[in-house]
Amino acid sequence: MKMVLSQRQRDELNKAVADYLLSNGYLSALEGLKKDADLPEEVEKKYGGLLEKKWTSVIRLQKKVIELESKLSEAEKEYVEGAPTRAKRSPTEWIPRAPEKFALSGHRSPVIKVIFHPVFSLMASCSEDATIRLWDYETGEYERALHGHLDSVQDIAFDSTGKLLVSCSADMSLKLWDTSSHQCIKTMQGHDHNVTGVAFLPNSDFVLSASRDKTIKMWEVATGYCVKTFTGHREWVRQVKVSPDGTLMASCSNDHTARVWNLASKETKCELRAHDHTVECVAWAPLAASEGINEAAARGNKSDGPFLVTGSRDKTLKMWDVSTGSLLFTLVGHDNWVRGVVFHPGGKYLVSCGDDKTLRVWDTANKRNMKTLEAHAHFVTSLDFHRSHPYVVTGSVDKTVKVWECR
Amino acid sequence: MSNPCIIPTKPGDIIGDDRWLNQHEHHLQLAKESEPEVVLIGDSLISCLCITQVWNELFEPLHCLNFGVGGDKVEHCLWRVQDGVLDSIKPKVIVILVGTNNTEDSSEHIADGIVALVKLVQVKQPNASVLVLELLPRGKQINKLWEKNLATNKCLEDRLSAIHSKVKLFKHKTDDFVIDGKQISVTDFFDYIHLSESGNRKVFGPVYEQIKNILTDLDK
Repeated sequence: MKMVLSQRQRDELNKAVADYLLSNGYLSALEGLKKDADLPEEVEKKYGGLLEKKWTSVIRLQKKVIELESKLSEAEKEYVEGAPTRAKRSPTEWIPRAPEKFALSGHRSPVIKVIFHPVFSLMASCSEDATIRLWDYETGEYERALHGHLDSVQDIAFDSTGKLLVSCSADMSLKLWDTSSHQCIKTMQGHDHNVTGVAFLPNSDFVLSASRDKTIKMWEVATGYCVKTFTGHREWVRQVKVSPDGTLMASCSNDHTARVWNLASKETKCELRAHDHTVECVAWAPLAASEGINEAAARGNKSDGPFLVTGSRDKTLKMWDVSTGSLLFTLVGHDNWVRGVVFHPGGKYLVSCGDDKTLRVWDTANKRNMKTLEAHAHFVTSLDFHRSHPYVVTGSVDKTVKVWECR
Repeated sequence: MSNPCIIPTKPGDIIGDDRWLNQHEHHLQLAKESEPEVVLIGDSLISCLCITQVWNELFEPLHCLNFGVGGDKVEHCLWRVQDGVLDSIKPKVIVILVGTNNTEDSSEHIADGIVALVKLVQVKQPNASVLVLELLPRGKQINKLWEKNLATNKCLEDRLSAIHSKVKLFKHKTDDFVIDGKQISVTDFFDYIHLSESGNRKVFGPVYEQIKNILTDLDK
């Protein structure tokens, strides 16, 4: 047999065996060993009981290993299944979980906005690098870039079919893109400053845009003409969102307010004042959210809404009842500017992101910040929640786009 | 004798690479695009801050713009403010650190120049709080220039307190980086004038705390 022990170890083993033979009275064997291995007459004291110790220590170590292994598997189980498994997840309950599924690089400057395509497994991002990029959120593959804007692309939106994409830019223009040919089919000029918000009306015939020139404009998709201008905000209008039924529009502004407008009459339906700083983002609640919002508002009469949530540089989110123009409640938790907010498609939760670099999930009925993900290395500028598939996407000043799977 | 520190001056492009003007133009562009809550203006001690961890960790989350230009004297900062670096923004706090490059000027003149700069900043941004940082030590052992910076700080103390309640002189915790009042370490000031990462943390960590306090008070 080939010995794997070093000379020193071999001597040690011989001496330990000699000690074992001596202490157990196997004197003839000891004599033989001493002779064969050329051992000294007296075995030093430090070898006393060494062989037994080696024997038992292996068992002790084995026991320790088993203990640690079972601890590890428990920790792994908690880490993976703290949430339901993929098989057991439900569309009303699923929320984004760390770690991210993909971290996608490509943009050369901060990412400003990210959105999901309503039909295909596609998402779009836009950036200060003046491009729009299309990605497959299931495979993480980069599809292509849309070039045309001359300055930072500030916002993008798909129409309800996903055939058209509209973008707006600091170059003061809006562009319409055909999403199958990837061609820019129209450029709309008319704003006097940076355009930071765009939205389609549900029928896809009109587009709305919000600008630093303090106005909101409505554009006809077929002709590219500006057909209406909404004035009233006293400062830069950041974003514009159309209500699910297509009759109202919500906007938010550096003047610390959000406004709800009647699209047909151009009149302001209500002005929502309570934030102490620029209102960065706004989102309409889906019908499914009404129950939770009423519960959280804890008022006698239940309202049918519609409801609206706003996010602000004052670090808070605020929920509003548009039927009365009243503030229902405030969600406090972000440590820096809130930059994006969307409702969970199931209605029970809200998801927000901001300059504290986090992605936060809020349990609406309990007004509770139920989960916080450290999402990016820099400010998180935007997020979107897929309406039917278990994905959330975020964009950041760190130039990456991240896809989060929900469970 | 007239005081050159109070006259807005565009430095000549002595070296010939036009970097000074390029930096200023870049700052004008940044001001057009961003909405900072805090602006820092000054010389290389300010500009070098933005390549540190201290900047990434503490200052960036405050939504800061850094308008530091290496080598700037007080009169150069005056020129840049006059030319519009503060025109298209609405910062809540403006931090100033400049003067150590005015090696030829007296402490009185430098202090008057800084006061002129503060007043111009206030004309451009009447609602902003202005935090003027004391000049820092320079040179391994105490020397004439370092002593002059100390004298300038003394002059500033009286002059700034008289301007406006929104204008404050920020006093450094010099015990953290000055040894026995007469020596600085190469670990904090890597070339005995500019700050290392650890030096930046010692000097600008407390500045950050002060800015944060001002912002918190404004929120109330």
